[in-house]
Amino acid sequence: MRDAFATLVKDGRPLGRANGLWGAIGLYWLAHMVLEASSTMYSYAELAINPWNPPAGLALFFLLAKGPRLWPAVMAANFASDRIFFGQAPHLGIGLVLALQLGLVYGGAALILTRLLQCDLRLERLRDLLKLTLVGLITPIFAGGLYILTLISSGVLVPTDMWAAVGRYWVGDVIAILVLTTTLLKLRAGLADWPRPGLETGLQTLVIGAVLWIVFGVDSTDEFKFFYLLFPPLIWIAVRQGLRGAAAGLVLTQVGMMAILTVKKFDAPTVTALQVLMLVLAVAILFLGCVVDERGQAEAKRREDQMMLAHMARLSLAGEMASGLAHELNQPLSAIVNYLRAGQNLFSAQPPRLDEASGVLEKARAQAMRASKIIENLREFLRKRELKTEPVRLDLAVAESLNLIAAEARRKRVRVESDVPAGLPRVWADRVQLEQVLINLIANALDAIAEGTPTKREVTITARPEPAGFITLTVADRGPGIAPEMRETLFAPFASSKDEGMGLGLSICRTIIEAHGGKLWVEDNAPQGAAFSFTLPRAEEPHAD
Amino acid sequence: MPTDAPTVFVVDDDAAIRDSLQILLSLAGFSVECFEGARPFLESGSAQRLGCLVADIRMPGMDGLELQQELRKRGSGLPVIFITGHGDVAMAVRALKSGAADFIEKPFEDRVLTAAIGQALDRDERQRQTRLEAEHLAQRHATLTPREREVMDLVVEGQSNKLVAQRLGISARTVEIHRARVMEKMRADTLSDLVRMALRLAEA
Repeated sequence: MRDAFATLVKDGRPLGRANGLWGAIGLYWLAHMVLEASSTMYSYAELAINPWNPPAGLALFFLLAKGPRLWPAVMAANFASDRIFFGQAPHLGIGLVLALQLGLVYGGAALILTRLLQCDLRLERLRDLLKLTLVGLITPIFAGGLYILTLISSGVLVPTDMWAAVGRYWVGDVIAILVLTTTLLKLRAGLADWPRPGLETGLQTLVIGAVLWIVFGVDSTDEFKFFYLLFPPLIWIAVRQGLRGAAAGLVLTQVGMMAILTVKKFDAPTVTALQVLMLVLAVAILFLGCVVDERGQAEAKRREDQMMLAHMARLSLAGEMASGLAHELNQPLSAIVNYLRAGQNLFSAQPPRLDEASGVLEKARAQAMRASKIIENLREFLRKRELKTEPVRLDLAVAESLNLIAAEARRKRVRVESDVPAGLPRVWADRVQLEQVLINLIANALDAIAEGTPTKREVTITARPEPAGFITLTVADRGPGIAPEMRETLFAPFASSKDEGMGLGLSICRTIIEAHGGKLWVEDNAPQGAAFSFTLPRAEEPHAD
Repeated sequence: MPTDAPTVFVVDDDAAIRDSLQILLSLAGFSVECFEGARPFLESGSAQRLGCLVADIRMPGMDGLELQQELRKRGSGLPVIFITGHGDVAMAVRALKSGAADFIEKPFEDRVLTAAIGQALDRDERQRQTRLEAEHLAQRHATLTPREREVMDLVVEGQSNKLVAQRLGISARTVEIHRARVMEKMRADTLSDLVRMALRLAEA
C-alpha cells in the first residue's frame, strides 16, 4: 500500500512504466470510491450533486500528476461510482454522457493549468496557487452546468431547481479542489519538508477538534455566528507550517465539520451555506500559508546570499593579504639584489675594495633576516588569530556547517550524509574556525563531485574517538580523488586545481587545525575519491597549550 | 650648494632600498642623494636642479604619482624613473602616460637601472640645451626695433626688398639697411638660417 501510494504521489518510475501507470489508475479508482462513499450523505435528489465532493479534487490532482491524457480514467471512475451509489437514477446512456462530460472538463482544466498557465505544481509561489485557485473556481461552473443541463434535458431534474443544484455542485467541487488537490500536490512535491508529528501538531489537531465541536456540535452556538472561531487555529497552522500545514489543517477541518454535520443531521441547504463560508476560510488560509512559505524562501535565499558574501569577503581578504605580502617581501629582496650586485662590483674593482664589500654583504644578510621575519610574523598571525577555544560538540558543529552549505549541496545535487554520534566526547576548539574548516572541506568535496563523474553523488562525514585523547573527523567523497602530483602541493598556499581558486583554503584549514594541536591529512577513499581527516583534542582531557 | 654635475635623487620610504641604491649607483659613477619621502625631497629644493629622480611608486603619504604631478605643477623638468613592485603595472602605465621617463620592476638588474638613468639624463641634457637655445634666440629677437621686426617678418615670408619697401612705404635702400641689421642682431649667416629661427620663435 505504501509503495502504491508512492507511485501515485511521487513521479518516480522505478518499475515498468505501464505497471506503474496501471497501479496509479487502480489506486485512483480505489480512492475515488472511498471518497465517494464517504460523501454521499448530502447528495441532491439522490444524484451526485454534493456540497462536499472530494472525488473532484482527487480527479484534478490525478490528471495534473499523471497527465491530462488520462481523462478516460476519470470518466470511468465517475461512471462506475454513479452506477454504484446512485443506481436508480439516470439510465445507462445519460450516465455515459455525464461521465464523459466530467472527464473532458477536468482533463481540459488540467491541460489549461499545466500547458497554458504553466502552473508550477509544487505550489511554491503565490502566483501558482492563484492559478490553481482560479481554475478551481471556474472549472466546476462548467462541470456543474453541463451536468445539470444534461439532467434537466433528460427530464431527471425539474428546471426550477436548477440554480440551487448548480450552486451546491459548484461549492462542493471548489472546496474539494482547494483543500484536497492542494494537499495532494504538496505531498507530491516532497514528503521531506512536511511538519513532523509532535507536540505542536498534536495541540493544533486538538484545538481544531475542540473548535469544531463548539461551533457545530454544541446546539446552543449558532454555526454561522461562531464559524469565525475556525480562523485562529488555522491561522496558527498556516503561520507556523506554511501551505503544507494550511492545506492539511483545512482537510482536517472539512472532514471534521462534515462528520459532525452528518451526525447532527443538518439539512442540505444549511450545509451548502456553511460550505460557502468554508470556501472563504480555505482561500484565506491557503494564501496565508503560501505567503508564509514565500517569506521563508526569501529568508533562505537571503541566508544563502549572506554565505556567499562572507565567502567572497574571505577570498578578497586572502587576496589582499597575498598582495600585501608580496609587496612586503619584495622590499628586502630588492635590497638584497642591490647589495649583492654592489658587492660584486667592489670585489672586481682594481684593486678589490674588500672592506666595503664585506660591509655590503653584511647588509644583504640583515635584509635576508628581515624577509624571514616577515614570513615568521605571518605564520604567527595565522596561528594565533583570536583562538577562542571552548568545549564543542562535534555533531552540532557538523549540523551547523551542513545547514550553511545545504543550499549549495542541493544545487549540485549531492547528498551529504552525516554520521557523527551525539554522544561523542566534546572537542577543544574555536567553534567558528572549526566550522570554517568543515565548510571548506565539505565545499571541496561538493566541487570534486560536481567536476567528475562520480560513482555516487554523496559526501559522508564520520567521526571516531582515538585512543590518545583525540577525535578524528573525516569528510569523504566519491569524486575523482587527488592526483598523485597534486598531493605534494595540496596544502601549500596558492596551489589550486580550481580555475577561480586562490589555493588558500586547505592551507588555512591545516593552519587552523594545527593551531588547535591537531593534524589534517588526506587519504584515498578506495575505490574512488578522497577522504580528508583531521584530529582535535578531546575537551575532557587536560588541554596542553 | 647646487652643482653643475647631474645628480640622481633617490626617493624611497624603505631605508634598505635607499642605502643599497646609494651604494650601487655611487659605484656606477653617479652622484647620489637620498630622501625618505616625497615631501623631504620637495622641501630640499632639488626639483630645480640638474639630474634624474628615481622614486618608489608606492609610498606612504604622497606617493610617486602625486610627486610627479607636483613636480610638473612647479615647472620642474626633472625626468622621473619609477620603481614598481610586482603587480603595480597598471599604476606604472598611468605614470608613463603622464610623462614618466621610465619604470622598472623590482627587484631589478643594476644595469637596467643605470641604463635608464643614463638615457634619462641624456634626454634631460638635450632638452635643457634646446630650451637654452630657444631662450637665447628669444633674447636676440627682443633686441630688434619694431621696424626691424616688420622687415624680418616680411623677409622670411619670401618677399623681395622691393615688395617689402612698397608694403612698408619706405625706400628699398632703407629696407636693405634694416635687413642687414636684422641678420647681424639675430646672428644669422644666411636667409635660410633666419627662416629657421623665425619658425622656432613661432613655435615657442
